[in-house]
Amino acid sequence: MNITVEKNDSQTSVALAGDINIYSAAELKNELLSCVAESSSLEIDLSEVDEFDSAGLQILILAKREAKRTDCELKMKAHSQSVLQLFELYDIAGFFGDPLLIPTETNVDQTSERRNV
Amino acid sequence: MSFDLDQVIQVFIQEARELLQTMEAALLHLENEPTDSETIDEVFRAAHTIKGSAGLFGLNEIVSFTHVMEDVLDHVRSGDTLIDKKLIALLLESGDHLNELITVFAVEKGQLGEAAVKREQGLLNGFALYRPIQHVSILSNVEPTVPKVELYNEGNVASNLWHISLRFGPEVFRNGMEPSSFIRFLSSLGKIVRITTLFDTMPDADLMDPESCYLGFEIEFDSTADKNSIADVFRFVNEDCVVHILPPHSKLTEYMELIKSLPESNTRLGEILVESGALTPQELEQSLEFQRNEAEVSGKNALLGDILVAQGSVEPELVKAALDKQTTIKDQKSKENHFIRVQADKLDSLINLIGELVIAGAGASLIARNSGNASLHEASSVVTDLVEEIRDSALRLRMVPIGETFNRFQRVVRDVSQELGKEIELVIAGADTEVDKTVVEKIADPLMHLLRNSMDHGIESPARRTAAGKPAKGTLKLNAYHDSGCIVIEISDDGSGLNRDRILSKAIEAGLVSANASLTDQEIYKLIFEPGFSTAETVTNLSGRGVGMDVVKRNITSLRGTIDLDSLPGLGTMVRIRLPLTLAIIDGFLVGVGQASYVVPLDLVRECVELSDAQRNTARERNHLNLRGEVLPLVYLRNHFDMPDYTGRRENVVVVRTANQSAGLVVDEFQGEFQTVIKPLGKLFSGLRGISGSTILGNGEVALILDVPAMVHQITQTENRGPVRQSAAQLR
Repeated sequence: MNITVEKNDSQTSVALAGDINIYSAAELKNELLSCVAESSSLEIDLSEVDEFDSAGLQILILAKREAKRTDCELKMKAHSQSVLQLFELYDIAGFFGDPLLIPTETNVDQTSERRNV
Repeated sequence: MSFDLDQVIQVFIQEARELLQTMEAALLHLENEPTDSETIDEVFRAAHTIKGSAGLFGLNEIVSFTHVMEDVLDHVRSGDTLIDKKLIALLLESGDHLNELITVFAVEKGQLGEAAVKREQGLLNGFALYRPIQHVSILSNVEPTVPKVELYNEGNVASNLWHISLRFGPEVFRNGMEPSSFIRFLSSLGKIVRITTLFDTMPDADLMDPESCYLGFEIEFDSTADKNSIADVFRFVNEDCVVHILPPHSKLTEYMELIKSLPESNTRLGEILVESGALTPQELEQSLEFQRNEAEVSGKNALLGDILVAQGSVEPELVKAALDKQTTIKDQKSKENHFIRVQADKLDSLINLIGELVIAGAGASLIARNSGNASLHEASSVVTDLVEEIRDSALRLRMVPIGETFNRFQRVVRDVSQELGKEIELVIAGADTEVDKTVVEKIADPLMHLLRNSMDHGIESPARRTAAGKPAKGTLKLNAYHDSGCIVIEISDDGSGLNRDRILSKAIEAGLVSANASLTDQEIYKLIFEPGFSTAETVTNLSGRGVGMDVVKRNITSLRGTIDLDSLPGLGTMVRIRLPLTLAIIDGFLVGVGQASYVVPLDLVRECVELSDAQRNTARERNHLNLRGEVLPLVYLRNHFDMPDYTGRRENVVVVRTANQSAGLVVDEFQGEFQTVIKPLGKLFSGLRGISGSTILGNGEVALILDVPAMVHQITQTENRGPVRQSAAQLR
């Protein structure tokens, strides 16, 4: 997993890349929580996330919850396909409240298919 | 297309034997805790499985007998029949009888002998007492039932969907499981209409463990599958997940029960259920209202369960779900699903091949090193590393926990103590300690001898124990642990201990030692391992005939093991068996003496020291070395193997340690680590002391493996008698 943090005044951008899973959960937790603590506005770019599992999701949930608590504005953008799939399966997008961009046509098919199985 | 029935029946036989063993252990456990419902279930499951698989093979005799057992157990399980000592004894006997049935019908395919038929009849008569009038068993009643009497108007909910409620436990991730895969799998059985992901149990940020799972789900599920298939989806995660499955149109009371049993607050769950369409707002209002009323009346809302029972509406599913929740905690049996059965000889041939591979690899790497071709050398060392890893994991395949063998003795102890009229409890520790399967197989008999011996001679009768101020119940302890490349098994009792004087006088009488020999206590105790030695005043049919202890010793020596004995008069005896972990391949340390190479088992090597010129002379005079203020006895391998005196520039010492004794082996040179495939020496060399086997080096030469424990033992023996104390004093 790779975390790139860019700080710009109070606005922080974080780009996550690689596998966000049980193996990287501890590291991700520390990084994200310190970002949430230090800034009032945080944007997480998920476009380069490869593997994404429930442990990874938990950390995002935790970060969002912390952000709500500390009045930090946390947004996620450019969700990669693996992230979208899990959000879809758990129907949890509503909790995060970010608009989901569905990149390609095939993607739409796949997700809707899963819903209808 | 025909498949080998014989091979399949082998699997049945083995499985049935294992189940019988499990059953026996469970029954013995029940003897102490007759109300433990999990254990009753375990016994029931064992009988049920044996019956089922015997039916597959058309072994009708086994089926009809197990059927009766199963029937009685079922009544026990449902609480209709209470389990008592008599029933347990009956069931234990039935287990033995089943074992015989399996031998007769599945193995020999013969007919039952007269005695066995009689015994079966006796057992069946015994069971008849416990068998109330036939009625439908719970097992055949798994279909969702149509609701019966209704006390409350709310009755059944309107929703025609299954409601599945999941709470994954904290260990799920660490056990390598992923909740989403179960939900994906669930969707193959039907349609997930709505899913709500819960994470209310996740603690505050600093307390949250990133590797623990805090997720829960409430799922509305549209499916025509039956409850069992849905429950099966979560079977693999059963231990770590609380699963509630409510069939369509379930009773409102079941939802109430569900709401109550889940960790989140009632209102929060109620909202989720309404939002997801499981309950209508009215239904929720009704149930919450009802619960409040009840709470006011009784002061506690635990009443719900009582009402359910009174109502007669506790459905098998609910009972099962509740039972599942409990059984999952301790039920390790389901883990058996993760095992593959492999025939032992296949494994043996694999180990053999790996042995050859290690030897061939050593040859190849030697050539590579001598060729001076760096890249070849590099490549071959990678291969060597891999071979080493393969060797280790192959040997690990054969490792089994010793607990299985230990548990078998529970029954022996129970039977023997009853026979002897003594109260004896067997305490087992270190059951997880792993050891090579061949070692386990060969150790069972000697252990049995030692246990019987302790029970017969060691532990006194209750009357004598109370008179001596000890608890009437004797304790026998089996313990196992790893210690520098060995497994140590301890058998200890809190009995009367060994009688030093009686052993000595018996030994003198039997001509084993001369009357004026001065022996240490240890040496006297060890006399009981001599052939033809027995001090028991009465010969029982258990022990006392003087055969046994010497056989025990022989068996253990043949496994390259040692046996020790400690005893305190009036307090008890401890026998300590030390065995090598594996009999096939070890890590060795290669040393050179003259032209020859010898292997020292690496696990025993503590350090290597160079003998300086100054030390050489004094060391040779005294046969001792002052190692950081400690006296280290030395063995000159050159002298030991009768080789000409050394004239080379320097000598080295390998410090070895075994059974809390250190010693130094003086050698010419160190040749490094070496993977050693142990090849037994021929019969001709069986009398050889100090050598435990041989191995083949990379260049094709043979190296002898030193029997370090024997050597160390030998020098400490001579030391104890000789003027050691003096020389130790001189050193200072």
